Amino acid sequence: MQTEQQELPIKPKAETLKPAPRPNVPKKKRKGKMKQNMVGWAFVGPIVLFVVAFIYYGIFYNAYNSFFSWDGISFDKVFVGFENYAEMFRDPDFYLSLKNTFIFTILTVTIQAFIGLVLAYFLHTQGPLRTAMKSVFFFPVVLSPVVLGAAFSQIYDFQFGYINEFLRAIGLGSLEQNWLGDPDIALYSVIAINIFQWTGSSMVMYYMAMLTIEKEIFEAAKIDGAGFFRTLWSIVFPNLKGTTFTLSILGVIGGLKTFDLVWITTAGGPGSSTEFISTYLFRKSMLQQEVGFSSAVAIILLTIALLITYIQLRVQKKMDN
Amino acid sequence: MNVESKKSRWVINLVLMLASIVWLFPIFVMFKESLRVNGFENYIATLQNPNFPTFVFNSFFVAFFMIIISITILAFAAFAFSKLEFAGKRLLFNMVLAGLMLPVASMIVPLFFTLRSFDGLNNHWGLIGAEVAFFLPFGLMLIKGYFDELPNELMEAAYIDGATILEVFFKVMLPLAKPALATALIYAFLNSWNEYLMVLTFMTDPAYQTVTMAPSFFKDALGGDPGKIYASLVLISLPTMVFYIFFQRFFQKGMTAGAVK
Repeated sequence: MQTEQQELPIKPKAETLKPAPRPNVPKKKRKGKMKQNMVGWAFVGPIVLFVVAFIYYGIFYNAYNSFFSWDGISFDKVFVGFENYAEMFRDPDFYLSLKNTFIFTILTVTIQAFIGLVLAYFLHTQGPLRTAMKSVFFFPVVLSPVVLGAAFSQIYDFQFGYINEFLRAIGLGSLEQNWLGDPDIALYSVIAINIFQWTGSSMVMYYMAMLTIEKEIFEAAKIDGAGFFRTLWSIVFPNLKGTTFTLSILGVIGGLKTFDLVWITTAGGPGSSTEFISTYLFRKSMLQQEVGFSSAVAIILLTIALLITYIQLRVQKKMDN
Repeated sequence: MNVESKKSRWVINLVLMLASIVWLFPIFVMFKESLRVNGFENYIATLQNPNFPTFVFNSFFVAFFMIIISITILAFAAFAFSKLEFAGKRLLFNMVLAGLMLPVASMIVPLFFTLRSFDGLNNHWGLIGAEVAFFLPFGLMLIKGYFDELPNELMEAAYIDGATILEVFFKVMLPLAKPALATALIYAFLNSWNEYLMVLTFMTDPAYQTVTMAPSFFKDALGGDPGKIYASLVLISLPTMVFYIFFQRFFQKGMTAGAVK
């Protein structure tokens, strides 16, 4: 019985998760260990293969190409050392795309968390229609940014758009804007669409987390005379720190990944006023055939993503302790 | 809860109602625009355009095989990472999970050349492979988290009864993991159906493009007739809308499952 259990390739109990190394295990048992490894590797082989072939190979490919001047078509790849990186750091559009991505991320994360929290709190106190409303707010999450971008282009349109027509109708025509065509405003118009799309997910996450706060805490707050918003600010919000942190990380990743929405609504324009790091990369590599250069941009983007992961892991560790 | 007065309850309801209207408005706009000038004729014209069925077919084809391949790979991997012991487990797991952070945009050039060398450009299978690779990290997090919650006792009992590892996997663990697999399936479908950048880059021939390319295609092909473009937007959103209406709880579950890690 005992030996039989030892040879099982399962994790029997939590305490035996990490068996201490035993150098002089009998040969038979070592064979069992090998078999255990083989079974595990066979199970995870496909996923590792996919990730290595499509992702890790790509990272090395990018790193290698970033040292060459190459248009992606011709056979002459010229080694240029760090010239691509130097050129990138001289390009004002690169900084602009970083800045836009940064503004996008900061505004999305904060506003979305705020609206999501308030909606979740309101829904939490509300009885009827709660489920229906939750569905309404979450709904845009499942739509393609292509679809939402097109719908909002109609809302933002300068001549016939809903916003400007509404402003004219109530006599505030002087406030009408070229929402997607004005370089000073376009970025914020795109950000608004993104917030619209993803607030539902923040709301659901806050809502689920609120359900785990014990009723007694709310009761105690009530007895202490804390008002509705006072409770939100001093009881609910601090209790949901973990959710807020997760949302921030998801928001930062989302910001780095954002492409579809920008490409559909403004394609980075007018000028470069809504250029994002991902649209910049796409433009350089696919439209301007600067493959070597774009690989350098990709490496910088990967470095940023890696840095954020590192920070996330550090903060998570601190919060767990 | 501590809503003292009727008045504040009233205010909360009003805010929620207004917010709901704001959230429904863009969807209302989409429907309204799709009926512009010609009413339902726009839908008929869109459906009759020979390219539209192609886009829809491509999307379903790609999504179907993307789901089958992803879920199969994920079921084995999540079970092993959660319930088996083997050398290099932590390293391999973290390696896969690191893919979560990766923006597709940073990988389009290498993917382009990788796919080209396998004749994967303008080829459904090339797109399917790339979509699978970028879905796996999220899917693994989702399903492995669920396996972690399952107790080991059932599995141990099966082993004692002399079951092999494959029997334990297929007959004991897999049936238990159904809810997690369903959630992953729905997210896989959503990802595949809404994929834009990879289609834009790798599928330059409209014969292989999926529905997200339909609006811009019709913009050129139909002389920019807005009614028909919006009709196509509504049509390409229908499958996700139907999915959402029927499987809502899985969507929201997936959301929070992603939050745990």
